[in-house]
Amino acid sequence: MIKFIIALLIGLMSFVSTSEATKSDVYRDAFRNKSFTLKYEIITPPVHKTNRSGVLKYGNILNPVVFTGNESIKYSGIIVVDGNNKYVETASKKDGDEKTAAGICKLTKNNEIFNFYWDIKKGNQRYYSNSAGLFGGKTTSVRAEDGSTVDPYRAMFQEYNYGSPTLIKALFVIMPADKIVEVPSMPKYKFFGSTTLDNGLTCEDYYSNSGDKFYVARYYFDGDKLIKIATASYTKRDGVIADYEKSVIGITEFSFTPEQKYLSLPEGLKDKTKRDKKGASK
Amino acid sequence: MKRLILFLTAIALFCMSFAPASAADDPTFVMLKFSNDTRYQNIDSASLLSDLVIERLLVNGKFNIVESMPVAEDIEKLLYDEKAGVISKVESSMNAGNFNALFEGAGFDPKYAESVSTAQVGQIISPEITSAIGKNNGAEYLIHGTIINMGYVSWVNQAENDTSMLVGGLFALLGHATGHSTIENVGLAAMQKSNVHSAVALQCDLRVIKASTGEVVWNKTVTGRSGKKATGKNVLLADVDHDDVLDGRSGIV
Repeated sequence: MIKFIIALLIGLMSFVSTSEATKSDVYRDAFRNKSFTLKYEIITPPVHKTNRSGVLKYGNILNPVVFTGNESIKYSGIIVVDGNNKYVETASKKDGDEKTAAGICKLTKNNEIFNFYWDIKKGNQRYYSNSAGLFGGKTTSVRAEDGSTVDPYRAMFQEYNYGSPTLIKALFVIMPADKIVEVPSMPKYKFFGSTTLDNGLTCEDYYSNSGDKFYVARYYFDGDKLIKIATASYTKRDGVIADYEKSVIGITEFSFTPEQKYLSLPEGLKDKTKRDKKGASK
Repeated sequence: MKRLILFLTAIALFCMSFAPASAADDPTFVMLKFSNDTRYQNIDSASLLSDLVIERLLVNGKFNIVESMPVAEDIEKLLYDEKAGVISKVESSMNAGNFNALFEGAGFDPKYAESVSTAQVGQIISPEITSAIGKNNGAEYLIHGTIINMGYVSWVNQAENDTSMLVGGLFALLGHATGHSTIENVGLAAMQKSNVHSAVALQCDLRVIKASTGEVVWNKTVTGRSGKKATGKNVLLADVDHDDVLDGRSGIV
C-alpha cells in the first residue's frame, strides 16, 4: 500500500512538473493545430566563420562567393501554416542596403511544392524561379514538384522545413514534444522556470541536456505576446567547452491566423505545372 | 612566396593612409599580432603581415607606435576564453534558478561584438581584455588585422568581355551569311576568347580599437593582388565593399 502511495505521489509530481501552465502554451497549441503566421528576424549575427578549412572562397568563378570578416548581413523570415499547406520564406540583405535584399520561398499547397525566389530590381520586389536548361536563368513562371509523397506529419516538423536552422532550434521549445520527429542533433527542451525583468518583460527559461550538448533558451513576453527568443548552446569534449553558439531572434509577428496571401503564388509568378486529368502534377 | 610578400607590403602601405580623428593629440598605438582566417594560417603569414605593417608605420612616423614589435597577447584566444566563460555561466544560472546571468549579461548585449574579426565600428570588444593590453603596453589604441582570404583569384574584365562577344558575334554572323567559314570561325574564336584573368590575392580586415573602452573606432577591408595595373572597369567576382586597393587610390595595382 505504501509503495502504491509513493508511486502515486511520484506520478502526480511528474504530472505537475510537465503540465505547468506557461505563456508558451498558446504558441505550442498553434503548432499543434497547424494554424499560425510567424514573422521573425535574426538579431544576433551568425557566429564568426572562417576560411580556415575548405577551399578559397574569394573570387572563384564556379562557386558562389562566401565572405567572412566584417560584412553584416541581416536575416529574416516568414512562416505561414494552414493545415498541410505551408509557406516558408527566408530572406537576407546587407545591413542598410535594400537593393541587396533577396529571399528563398517554398510554398506547399495541395500536395504540390513550389520553389521560387525574390530579389529587388529597380526598387521593386521581383519573384522568379530558376528556368531549366543548360544555361538556366530566371523566369517569371514556376512548376510545382509533386509533394504527395512527402509525409505531411514528418514535413511539418523536420529540421530544415522552416528555413533557418537557427530558428528551428529556438522553436523546438514550442513544438509539441509528442509530435517532434526525432532528430538526434536537436534539443529536447524542458521548462526550467520563469522570471520578470526590471523592464517588465516576463521570461520563460528552458534547457536541454543530452550528453555533451547543452542547450538553453529564453522566451521573452511583453504581457502574453512573444517578442523575442534567445538561445545558447555549447558542446563539451573531454569536459572542456569545445564549441558554442548563440542567437537572438526578434518575433515581429506571431498570430494564430494563417495569412492567406502567402498561401498562393505571388502576383507576377505564373503556375506552369503540367497536371494530369485528375489535377495531379506530373 | 615573393609574390605574397609583395602583397603583404602593399597592404602595409595601404595602412599608412588611415588616420584616426584624434591623431592630432598624438595618441599611442600598439600592434596586435594579426589573425589568419584562411587555410594558410600555418605558414605564419599573419605574423609576417603584422610585422610588415608595424615596420611601415614606424618608418612613416605618422603614428606614435609604442612597441616596435607586435605584442604577444593573442586577443582572439583571450576573447574565446572569455566567451567560454560566459557560456559556463549556465551552471551558476542553474543554481540561481534562472538564466539572467547568461541572457542579460554582456554575452547577449548587441553592443558587444561577436568576435574581434567581425567587430563593426561602434561595437565593443571586451574592455577588460583591451584595457589590460593597453595598460600593459602603455598604448591608447590597438591595431589588429584579420587575413580573411588568400590565394588565387579570378575575375572578368567586363569591357573586354562585352567587346569580344560583340565583335566575335558580328564576324560569326557575317561569315555564316556569306558562306565564308573562315570568317565565321574567326568570329566564333573571338567570342570564345577567355577574358578571365587570374592572380594571387590577399584580403584583410583591419581595425583600430580604443583600449580603454574596447570600442572599434575604425575598420576597413582591403584587397591586394598581383599582376599588371588593370585597364577598363574590372569586375572582380567578389563584391569588396571598401576596395580602395583595386580602384587605384593606393597605387599598388
